[in-house]
Amino acid sequence: MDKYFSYAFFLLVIVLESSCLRDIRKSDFKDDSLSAEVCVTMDFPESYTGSKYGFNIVMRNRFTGTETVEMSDDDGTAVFRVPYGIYTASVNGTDGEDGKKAILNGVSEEIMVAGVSMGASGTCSASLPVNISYSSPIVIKEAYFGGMLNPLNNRNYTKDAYFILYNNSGSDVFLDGLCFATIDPYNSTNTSASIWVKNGTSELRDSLPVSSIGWMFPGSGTDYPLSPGEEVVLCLNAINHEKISPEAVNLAVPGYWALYDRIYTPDQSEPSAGTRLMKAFWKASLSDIYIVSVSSPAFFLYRIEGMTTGEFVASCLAPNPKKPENRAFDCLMVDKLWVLDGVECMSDPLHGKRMRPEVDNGFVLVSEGLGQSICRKIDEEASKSAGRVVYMDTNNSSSDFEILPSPSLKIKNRNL
Amino acid sequence: MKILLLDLVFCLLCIFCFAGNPDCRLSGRVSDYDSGKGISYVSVEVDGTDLWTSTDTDGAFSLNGLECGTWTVRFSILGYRSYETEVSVGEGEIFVNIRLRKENLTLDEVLVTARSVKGINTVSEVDRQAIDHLQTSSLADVMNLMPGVLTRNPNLYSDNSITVRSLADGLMDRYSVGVSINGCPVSEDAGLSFGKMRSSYLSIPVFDFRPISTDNIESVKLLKGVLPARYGNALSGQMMVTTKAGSTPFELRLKTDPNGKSVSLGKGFAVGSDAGHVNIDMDYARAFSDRVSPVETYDRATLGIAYSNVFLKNSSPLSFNVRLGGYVSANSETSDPDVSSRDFYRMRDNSMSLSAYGRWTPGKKWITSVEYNVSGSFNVRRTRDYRFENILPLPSVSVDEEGLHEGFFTESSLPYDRRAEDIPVYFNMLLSASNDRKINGISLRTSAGFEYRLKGNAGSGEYYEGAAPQFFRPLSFSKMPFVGDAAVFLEEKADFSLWKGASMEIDAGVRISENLAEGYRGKVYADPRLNMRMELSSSSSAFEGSVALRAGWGIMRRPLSLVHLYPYPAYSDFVSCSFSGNDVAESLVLVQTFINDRKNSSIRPPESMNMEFGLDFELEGNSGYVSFFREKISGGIESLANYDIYEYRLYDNIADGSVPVCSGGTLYLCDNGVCTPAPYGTRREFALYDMFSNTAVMHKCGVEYSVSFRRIEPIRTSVTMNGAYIRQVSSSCGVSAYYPLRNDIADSRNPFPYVALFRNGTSIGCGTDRCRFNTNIGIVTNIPSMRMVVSMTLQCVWYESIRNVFPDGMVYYEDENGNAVFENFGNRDSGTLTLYRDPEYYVDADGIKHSFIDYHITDDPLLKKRLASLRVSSNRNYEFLERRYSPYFMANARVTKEIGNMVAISMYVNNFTDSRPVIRSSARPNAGGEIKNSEIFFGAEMKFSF
Repeated sequence: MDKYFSYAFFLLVIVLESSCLRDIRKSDFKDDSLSAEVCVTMDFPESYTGSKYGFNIVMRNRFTGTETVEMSDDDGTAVFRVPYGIYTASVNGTDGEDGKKAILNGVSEEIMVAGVSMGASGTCSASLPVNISYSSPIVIKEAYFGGMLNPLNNRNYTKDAYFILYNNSGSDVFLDGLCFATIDPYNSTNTSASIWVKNGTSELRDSLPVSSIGWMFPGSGTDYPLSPGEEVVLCLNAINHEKISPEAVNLAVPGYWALYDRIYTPDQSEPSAGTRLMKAFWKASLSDIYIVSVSSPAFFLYRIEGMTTGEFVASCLAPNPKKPENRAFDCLMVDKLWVLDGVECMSDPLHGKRMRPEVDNGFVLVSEGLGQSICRKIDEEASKSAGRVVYMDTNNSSSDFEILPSPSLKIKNRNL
Repeated sequence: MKILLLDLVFCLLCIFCFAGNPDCRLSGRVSDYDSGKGISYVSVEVDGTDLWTSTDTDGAFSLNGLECGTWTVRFSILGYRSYETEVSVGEGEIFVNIRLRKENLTLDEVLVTARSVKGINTVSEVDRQAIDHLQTSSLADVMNLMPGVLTRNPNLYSDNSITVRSLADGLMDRYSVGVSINGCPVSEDAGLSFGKMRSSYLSIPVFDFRPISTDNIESVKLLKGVLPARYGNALSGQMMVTTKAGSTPFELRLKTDPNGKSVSLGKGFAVGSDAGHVNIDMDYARAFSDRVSPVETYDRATLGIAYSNVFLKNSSPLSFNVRLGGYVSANSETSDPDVSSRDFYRMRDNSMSLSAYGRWTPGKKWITSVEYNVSGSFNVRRTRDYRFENILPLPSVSVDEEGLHEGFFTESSLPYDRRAEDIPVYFNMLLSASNDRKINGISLRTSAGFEYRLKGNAGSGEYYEGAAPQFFRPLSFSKMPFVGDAAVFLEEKADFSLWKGASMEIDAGVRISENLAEGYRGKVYADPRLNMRMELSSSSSAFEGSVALRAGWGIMRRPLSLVHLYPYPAYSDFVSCSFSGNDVAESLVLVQTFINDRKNSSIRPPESMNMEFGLDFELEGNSGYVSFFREKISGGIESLANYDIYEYRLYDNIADGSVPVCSGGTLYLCDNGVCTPAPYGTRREFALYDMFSNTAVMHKCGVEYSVSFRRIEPIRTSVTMNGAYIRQVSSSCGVSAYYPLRNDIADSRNPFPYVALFRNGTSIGCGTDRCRFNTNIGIVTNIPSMRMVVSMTLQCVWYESIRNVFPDGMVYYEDENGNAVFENFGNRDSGTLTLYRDPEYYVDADGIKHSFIDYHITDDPLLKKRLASLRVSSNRNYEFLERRYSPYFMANARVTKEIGNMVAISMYVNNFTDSRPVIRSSARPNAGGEIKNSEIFFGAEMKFSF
């Protein structure tokens, strides 16, 4: 009798307990306990007079990489419901009025979405500062730097790197005085912020650090015109690389420009006859070649405004935060307003950005050693209306660039 | 100098006094304990004299010319336990019957650790039984048994080095040790290529002991402290290896450990009835750097044949030994097959040596014993480094003379096939004689000897087969002349008793050496050596034992290596003009070449002043020693940077259309047949090169101790304790050039206009100060009934520290006004300050030296900015802090078991608890730390004897 009673008792306890537990668990899985509402408001500069409606704001989880997109309302606010985590919000769009197309770019600071950051309202709010920039008449159309395996010796051949600059506007552009640079650090790094940040913050400085050598197109001002739709090629070693690796590019084409200087880059090859020499006006590094990353370079075009190269070097040289006492790591600081076009490439989507959102609000992910090059996409609408090829330029290389399986010059120069 | 004179007078005086009465005779028979059979070739030595002989096939021996009195006679032969006994010889002949026991684990007492030999300086000896128990793979592993040495796992994959009383494994530490096999030196002094390193990077050639196998070794003796005058090629210590001579059973050994395997074979047999013995040994070993992937391997095969015999045993014994040895070893590395299957590196090092050595007791009044040693050896080292890189065509030249020459563009699609052929050749000769006599109870021994060493290289050198890199010149080794080192030594030893139970030994000597090298003025060096030992013994019933006090002082010297006397020249090539036309025929390269022969005509052999005080004791069965030592190496060899200023023409860029033509040393630009001189600018540049100089300084001092406690009989266990406290400070006292920036700050097209000259090295600290205190506790238990011996060693490092030496008064930081504030940062945390050290001078492009004080007093902002970058700086807060490590421990275990008389198995595990804690240094408690203990490592060996 007692035995049966105890069995029944235990059974009852079990039944009751499981139902209780079920209730306890249920509440854990309600929407409210795993996710939260986030209000992201765009913070436009005072000078902006255009519409705030209809921009696509993207919330990106920093660790998983998942993205959620919402459209902004008339106040420039978008409301998201996202799982707990750490996010960044960004926006990319154009406010196109005929003639002057403004490009809107912005990226927020890190937004922590978790129970702790909620106020009494249960929602979280964040601000997204927006920068306005403008498209450039001369853009970087294609870049090849990753190299390709040399079948003769099974090693990656990267010395045939090149950059193609293109006149994307409807009128002549003069190359004289146009400067080309790669940013510091050469490779993208896995810290959340580059070392070139404003004191005490994680915001990138308003000027971009030029690493290694300062290059400029020579000329008095009107010596080297570039017509609309024309392009120029910049290369480190202007020789026929097919002789060294059958999978490389022939860059020994008259009219190409060589990033070569006898005193600064003696370990690069002598450019072949007919190629032109870029002018090097500054060098700090100890290397005997011009260093361009093979995995994740970030490069840009700029013009020095209001001063000579000598004055520029004297006034804008800054010590490198990583090695402030070593002059070999100094960089020239180029103000963001001088920058015409910039492209940032990364080898890992979780690396920190080195370029400000106004210059490039995104990045291109490309692998090295596969013989791939990056190239701008053609802006179909603009090309149709202009009657010539116009490339996309929204200052966001995530959307402006595509990966080509093979560099365009490889086939073009094959039998020259 | 005064001590030198005293030495010489002492020696000369003693030669003229001789007296004595060597009329007594000792004879006897030595037989095997178990079988009773006579043992031939047993060495019979009388302690304290040069008298010795050897038994014949019946085991009989006879010693003549013995002074009457009580002597300690020692009987030893390979394979048997040595035996010592006291014999009193009086009028008439004495006959002794000696029974020797075979050396195996059935004996009650077994010695598997180093034994400290009673002598006038610190001597440790390791016998065959200890080497078997240790399971070594090369000679360097024997050092694991020496007092104070930290365990190092056997590794045939990388260089095996031997250092004595050192805390670092640096080149100077390895260079300070002398090693000889049967008295014949082992050296790398004429080696010019060093494996993977390009020959031009070689600064001190040091011997790699991997090819020296240990299976044919009978014993290893390590002499430390102040070595007697006959040893002249070491600064810290001399290791003497004796190989097996005599009858041995056929021995086959198989060894294995995670990094490799080896097999060896050895046999010694008697030739005829009384015609000596022949010992043959061979071994093969193979090691991998990664046991998972056999991509990097090392192979070694050695062979040795020795003949030994003793002639005229009963009258004036003469031992004669001849040994022919050689090895073939190969190091091979191929690239990871998944990445590139073409690159590889191969080094083959083959060697052959022939030596003849022995001693003779002529039985004459003037000469009581003679020792001779003649040996020759050579290595043939061939290296091949094949690399197929992506190369751009670059302007190059490969001329061997200064001036402007036309060059060429390097080939771009060919592999680099670098080869080196290094053939160092050595010839050594040593002859010494001694005279023993007794005057008024004082035993005197005068020794004099002569040593000559010849070294040179007959290799074709270093060259590339096919394409060569930019500016490469083939190096020829055989062009270097042969170099000789001659030395004469004189030694006087006096042994006398002070009062009952107290004796004193004084050993004074001088070594006079000269280096005979073409192109150098031979300087004669005289190095005095003095050692004293006072022993007090008591054999009363109350107290049994002895205590000895030792003291020594002397100057040791080590001859220079071939590469120091004849360094490779430094070529400075400046491209004057480089034009790559459409046509290969139009291409032109003009290069201005300057050559610096890098010779230091005042280079001299490094020397060390050594001092040692020791206390040896033997009390109630416990024995040991404590030695305090001090070594000051001055004139150590290091590479110091020096500078040259060169001027050359740099022609402007050649514009499109013109073709450059060089004629009569000038460049012309020709356009449609019209030639005009090409415009140019003159450029002055600094070129840095390395020069060998005697500016490395190393001071060592410490206390070394080794105690063997009395055996605990009930458990047949003996406990030993050894260790050392060593402090080692290394620094440089030379002036070196420092040129950190290539381009000027003001106009980066110009070269940086100044070179800095630093004293005491080009780091902010001026040396390294290392310190370590450790103890090794060994417990050995042998179980004769099981024929097994088990030993466990506990390695304790109590204290270890390293710090950068603070250069007093030379380090400062800048305050907010930019003024220099000098403070003592020695052993201080410098926080967030950036510390600076100035060079002594800066040199401008005209070669004029200026004092660096200009940086602090100048008003010119450009000069100040330029000079600022010539300083060395550090913003590490722990720069001068002492980095102390907390104590760490490790335990090793070894077992040897004999199965019958034919098989023996040995096993060992190093760090058997796998204790690998991360030790953090006191200066950087938040940094990653280091794992100090070596990883767990084990091995096994099986020995068959039949």
